[in-house]
Amino acid sequence: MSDMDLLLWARGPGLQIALAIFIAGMLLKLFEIFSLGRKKDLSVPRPGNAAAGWKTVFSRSLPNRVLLKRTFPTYIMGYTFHIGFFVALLFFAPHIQLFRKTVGLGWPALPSQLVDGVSLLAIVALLLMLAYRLTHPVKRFLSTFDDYASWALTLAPLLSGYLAFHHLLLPYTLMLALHILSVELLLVFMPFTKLFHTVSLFISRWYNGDALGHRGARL
Amino acid sequence: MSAAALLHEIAALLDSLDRMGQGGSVQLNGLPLLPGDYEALQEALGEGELSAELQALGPTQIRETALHGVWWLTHRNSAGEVVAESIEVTRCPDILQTPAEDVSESAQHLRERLLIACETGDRHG
Amino acid sequence: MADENSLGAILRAQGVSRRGFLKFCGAMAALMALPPSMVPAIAAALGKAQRPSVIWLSFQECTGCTESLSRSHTPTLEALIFDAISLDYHHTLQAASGEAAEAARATAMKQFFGKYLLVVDGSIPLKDGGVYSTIAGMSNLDMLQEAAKGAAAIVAVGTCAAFGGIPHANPNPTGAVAVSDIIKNKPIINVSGCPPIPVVITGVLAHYLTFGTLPELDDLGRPKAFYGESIHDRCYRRPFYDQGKFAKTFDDEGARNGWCLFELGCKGPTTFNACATTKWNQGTSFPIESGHGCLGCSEPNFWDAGSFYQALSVPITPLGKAAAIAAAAGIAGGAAIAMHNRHVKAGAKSGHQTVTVNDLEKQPGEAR
Repeated sequence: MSDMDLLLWARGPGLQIALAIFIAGMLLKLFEIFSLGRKKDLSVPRPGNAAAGWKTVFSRSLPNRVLLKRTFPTYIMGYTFHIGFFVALLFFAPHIQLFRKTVGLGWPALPSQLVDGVSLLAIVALLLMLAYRLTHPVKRFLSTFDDYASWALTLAPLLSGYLAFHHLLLPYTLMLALHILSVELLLVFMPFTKLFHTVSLFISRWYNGDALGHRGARL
Repeated sequence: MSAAALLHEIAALLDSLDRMGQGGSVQLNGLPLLPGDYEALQEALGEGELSAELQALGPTQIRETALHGVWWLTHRNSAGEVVAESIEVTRCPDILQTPAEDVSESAQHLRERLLIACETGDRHG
Repeated sequence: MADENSLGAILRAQGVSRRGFLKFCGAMAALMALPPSMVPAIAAALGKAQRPSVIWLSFQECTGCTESLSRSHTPTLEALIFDAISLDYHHTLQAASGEAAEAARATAMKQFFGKYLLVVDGSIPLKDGGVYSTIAGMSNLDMLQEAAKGAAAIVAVGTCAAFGGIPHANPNPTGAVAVSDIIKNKPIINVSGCPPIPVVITGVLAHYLTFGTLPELDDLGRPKAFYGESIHDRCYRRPFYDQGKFAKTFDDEGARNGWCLFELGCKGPTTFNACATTKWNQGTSFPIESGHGCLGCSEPNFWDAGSFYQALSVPITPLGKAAAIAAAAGIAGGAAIAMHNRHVKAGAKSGHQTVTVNDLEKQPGEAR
């Protein structure tokens, strides 16, 4: 199979398969979560906290003062990675073309050199996070296969995309094929690893906010 | 590739010619020159005092640029199209010099002509 | 130039001076993308090289490759290369036709067995015994296999011969394949492109004539001298790509400013050819310089690689159906899971045993 054959498979059947597994998997998991639900809290709710769930969905995107001080490295690396990842995914012109074709929506792009710089920061943040996880005794103790696998699945598209853009390491056709395949791998495993947090985090925030608001607390 | 980069390469070859008597050449066709680079290079090198034209398989122009030792060669076919173009850093381009075998042949040829002329002259006179 | 039958001797016999010969070697070096320092080696090699026989077979093709080659030439220099070879068979260019032509081919193949250069353009149809393309009643497949037996090397000119080309594109009704899919025991040079750049064809022939060997080839069998770099790597619009300045339509501000054509479907990044440096029509221009994205015509399966006007980052197969089926499966499966969970929860609820304070009081000696 030549490099071009691999690229055409990745842009064709590969994407169809990955997307199908992703959609089916995500729906199954969502049904599972919502159908299990939470135990109903029969106590009288504290007043004035009816929208606590919704508020928490947004408020937790901002740093928490106490945790920021205690776990600063995690916070700074986490923000750097997530922001960089989304800028690379959503504001790089070739990606916007992809969305325009598949979802029907387009929007203005950022200069490619800016996206390039931000992606590099995201990659560095990911590498530092792994180093931190491996050297911090508690983190290492708590880490499972899922943690390391999810990390690798996230790094692969960023790194392969960066290498492809700069024409490094492998001939471009192969590098681009690997980049697209790494994204497909990410899609396939997203419903079944902790990467599911991309969707479940909003659900968790709502439930936690709602439960705490019910009792008059807020976090 | 840009005109500036080429000039640096030519400078290096000139240095080499100066110190070690060994120049070199740069092929111009096939380089990804940006629009305007070709003219910029011509302007930078300028025209020198010596220009020669070779008629073999079409015209070839051999010019020394304003920089001594830097020659610009343009090979054209009989339809006037450029088939090869290069910059040679040398004291004299190879193609300008008379090939050694041609000298031997000419010497022999002229000898024969003079011999025939002599014989003819003798007969008449 | 010692040998009287060598190419060098032939040129001298045609009245080409020694300086002319040097000029010829310089042009050959340029053709083969070799540096001028190679000229002495080329001169020495031409002094010894014999005049090879070339048999050109045209199969399932549009004749564009032959047109590309002959269209660009009245020049004496390149014509000399064709004088330097003995083109013993070319059914478009030759004067003879019919049985006389086939007889000429058979004679050349027998006389120069093991030594002739076989040039092929066009793909070879295999379906239904190869009836979809025949010459003089002989299928292309049979003709290729017969001619390949005595060939020293094979040059597959054009994307059709190199990779199958347009006949090979979906749904490939004639079962078209490339030369390399059929011949496995001879050296093959793939000179791909639709058509290939003329000087690339002559450059490859020149290399074989001069050195009698194949030039260095990439993993698709293409000469690295001409196919070693992608269009993107040598494109003069690259700075615009790097900055993210893309033309959105063929006539907008960006297009008129010469911005990158990525969004208009340019396949430059994944295409390997000499278009950006050697260019077309004796270095006049190439598609991107004229404002149209690269089609990727020197790559295998370029006809099936997604629209010529959609970016490389876009999928080439429709996703709607797969997504809809997956969604349906997910919802159906999810509903099943939900019902199961409800059943389990209901069962847990009904099986739940309520306790009172009395139940909780421990009796002396009772285990809990």
